[in-house]
Amino acid sequence: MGDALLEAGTLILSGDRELFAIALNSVHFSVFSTLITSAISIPAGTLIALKTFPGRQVLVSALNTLMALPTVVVGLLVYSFLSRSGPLGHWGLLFTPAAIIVGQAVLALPIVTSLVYGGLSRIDAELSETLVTFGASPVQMLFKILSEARIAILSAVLSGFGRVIGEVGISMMLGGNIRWYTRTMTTALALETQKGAFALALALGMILIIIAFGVNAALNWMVRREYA
Amino acid sequence: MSTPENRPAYSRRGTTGEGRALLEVEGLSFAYDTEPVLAVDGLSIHTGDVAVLTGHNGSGKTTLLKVLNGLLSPSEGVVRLWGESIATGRGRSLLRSRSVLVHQRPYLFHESVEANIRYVVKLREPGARDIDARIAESLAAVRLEGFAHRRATGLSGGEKQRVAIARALAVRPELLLLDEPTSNIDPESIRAIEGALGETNRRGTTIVITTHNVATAYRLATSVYPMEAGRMHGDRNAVFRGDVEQTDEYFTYFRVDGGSVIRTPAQSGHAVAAVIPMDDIIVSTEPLRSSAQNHFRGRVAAVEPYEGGRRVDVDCNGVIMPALVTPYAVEQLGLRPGAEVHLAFKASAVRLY
Repeated sequence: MGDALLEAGTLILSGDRELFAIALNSVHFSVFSTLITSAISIPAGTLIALKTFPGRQVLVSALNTLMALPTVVVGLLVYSFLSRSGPLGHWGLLFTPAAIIVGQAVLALPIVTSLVYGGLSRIDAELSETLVTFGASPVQMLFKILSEARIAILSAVLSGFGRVIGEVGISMMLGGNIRWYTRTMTTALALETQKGAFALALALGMILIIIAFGVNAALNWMVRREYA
Repeated sequence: MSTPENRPAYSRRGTTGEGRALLEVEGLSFAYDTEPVLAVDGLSIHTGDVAVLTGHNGSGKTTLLKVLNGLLSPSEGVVRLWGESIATGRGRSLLRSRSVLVHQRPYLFHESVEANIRYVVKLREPGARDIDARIAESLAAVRLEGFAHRRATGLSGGEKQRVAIARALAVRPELLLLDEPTSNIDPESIRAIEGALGETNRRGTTIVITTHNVATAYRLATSVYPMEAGRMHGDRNAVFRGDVEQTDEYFTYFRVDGGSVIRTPAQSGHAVAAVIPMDDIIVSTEPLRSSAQNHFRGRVAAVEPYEGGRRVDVDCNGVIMPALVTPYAVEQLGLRPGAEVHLAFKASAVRLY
């Protein structure tokens, strides 16, 4: 194991081409899926937090439950749509990066929506009243409330990113772990470990941890700066 | 309309009583679900007034303040601003362009003090060109010069309250509503806030404050409205504005603006108001020989029903002194306008603020 660790360090420090291509793939897919999720989840979470409508509580409970959605279930669901015999089979997306991105976006959707909702609903009632008393229009109010909740929203988005970059099930089922194409850090890690190629697996694990740590550190820094 | 029952008795600084009220309340009630929390038959506040609503938590004063600012809609009744109901479009736009409410725990935006003020001025007056001057001016008013670039959310409770008041002053409201502006904050901030509000009022802003801080109430108020269980009462205190003239071994002498001197037990410090419970002022037709240290002679100016008794306003060399007596005493002493009477009260009945 000590040898493998040394070799893993060498792989990273020497800038191994395949290692970094895999890492880049992962980041690439996760950034895209997180962006798609955010485009839906931020407006949806905002709507649920600021508007009252029938069935809102049920929706919130459903979202909370779906936060724990297993990746393999999402994989199965999206697979059934994208497979050759599925309703979207003719798009030919299965085992492409696009399939991974769609699957990851579905996975992150309830998480980010629920966290955006949670962040906005914790904002003081005094904020709306303050904006009203100074004569803000509904649109001005919306923008100010979002701006005041910016850290909560950003942390919701980063939580979504953290969830998708570390998931295996969807990437494996929808991407197929195709070398130089849909192979991600997690699928490669699983495969290399099974093959007994611990050096590459360890190197991938380290990069994953560094990314997770980096995202968290950035978030902490922003929160501290905001509430200092 | 002020009903005689709750119109405060004492001399006011504002241009009161004359002309149309700036803010009027009629037949107001408010209920959370079906629980009634507010019932105010009538209240009128005139330009230049500082109306102070006092009372314990749950007395309905915060609810009333929010109703006056249109943040809560009354279950019944009407609030008029310059004669326009605030439930109408016209009244609402008057309210939103000329009045501001400052919360007890104000919400400051997560940005610099300066950005907080700039944002609200731009909301009110998108074309304002003197924003920098207004920021400096309003921060100076609450004595927070040099705080412009501090993060608003990192300040102490008292400093936050002062920033919230500076932010409200920067939009130059004609009607300023403040919920407990001086509770739970440091003495320095209380002085700064009272100073800023007094100055703002002298420049013409009408102010409505809720507070359970009696000192704040009497230092600032032109009229005090005690509230209890959602109802508004007439203040049972007579309030005189003036200055401490001197203090000797026994007494502190408080000179009422434009008139006589009131004796109080010797005490140190500055004061701007002398407060005497109206029930403690004794009316007699002959001079009294008693332990009371304050004696005045004057003529009855008016006798009105007040808080279940009769309020006798006595003109003592231009200063109106109100005494609260029973209807029986009015009969017995023949108290009617023009009658010559003597007033007496103990030095220890007087509180200075």
